Amino acid sequence: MTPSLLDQSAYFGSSLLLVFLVSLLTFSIFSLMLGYHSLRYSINKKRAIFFFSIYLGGGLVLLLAMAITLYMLS
Amino acid sequence: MKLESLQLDPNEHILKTVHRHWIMLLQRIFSLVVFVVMPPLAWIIVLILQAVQIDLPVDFAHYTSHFIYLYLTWLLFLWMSLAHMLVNHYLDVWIITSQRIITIDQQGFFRRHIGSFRLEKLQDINIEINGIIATFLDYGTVEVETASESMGEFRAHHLPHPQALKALILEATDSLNRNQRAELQSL
Repeated sequence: MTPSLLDQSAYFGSSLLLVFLVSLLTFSIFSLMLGYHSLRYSINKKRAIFFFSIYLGGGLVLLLAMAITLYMLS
Repeated sequence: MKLESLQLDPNEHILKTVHRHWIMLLQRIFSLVVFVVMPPLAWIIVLILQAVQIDLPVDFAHYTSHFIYLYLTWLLFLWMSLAHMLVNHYLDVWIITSQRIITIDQQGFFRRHIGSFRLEKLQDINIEINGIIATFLDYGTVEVETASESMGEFRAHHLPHPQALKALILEATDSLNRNQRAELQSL
């Protein structure tokens, strides 16, 4: 398949958007479950909050980078 | 189980909380690092192959942005795996109190096994250290046999400093038995 054929595909752009939306949804659900578990069951609550914040921050940075790349691609 | 909800007896106190040895976590993290490094490496190899005039059906250089986008998605899922790994590692714990041993085995988000037995029921402790790495880093399997019919035996793999742990449990058991004997004599 040549690049032009791939670019012209009507589904290609929407597939990338779908990937983003699925990732966003998965990350949200997973973060809720992870947050619930780490905060409820952790022995050291302060440490759990600290690491959960790092996890959330890292995930949001990745999502933001994905959104920017998607915007540049569109 | 929250530590506050362990409901310790008035005279009971926590002697030690033990997680698996850090080398087990490091092993898993290393496998994730391989997954992080592989896609860009494969992409670079493909670009090099194209640069040296090997005839490929697609102009890959044209799709670098698409690759970056999909790689970021990949990284997001690996990031979630890492978090899951860390949570499982830190929520798997042995809590040794002055009267009991409590074991918490986190097997997934919605699967958790909690067991405990009183030190009076302790019969025997066996430790097993297998291999060069385990010997150098001082970790191994701790197996605790109890008189309880329902609980039978507890076994935990890759616990750090198993000999020190065994000594601590035996000391706590002896101390508990001494206290109980003293209480009986005073009655």
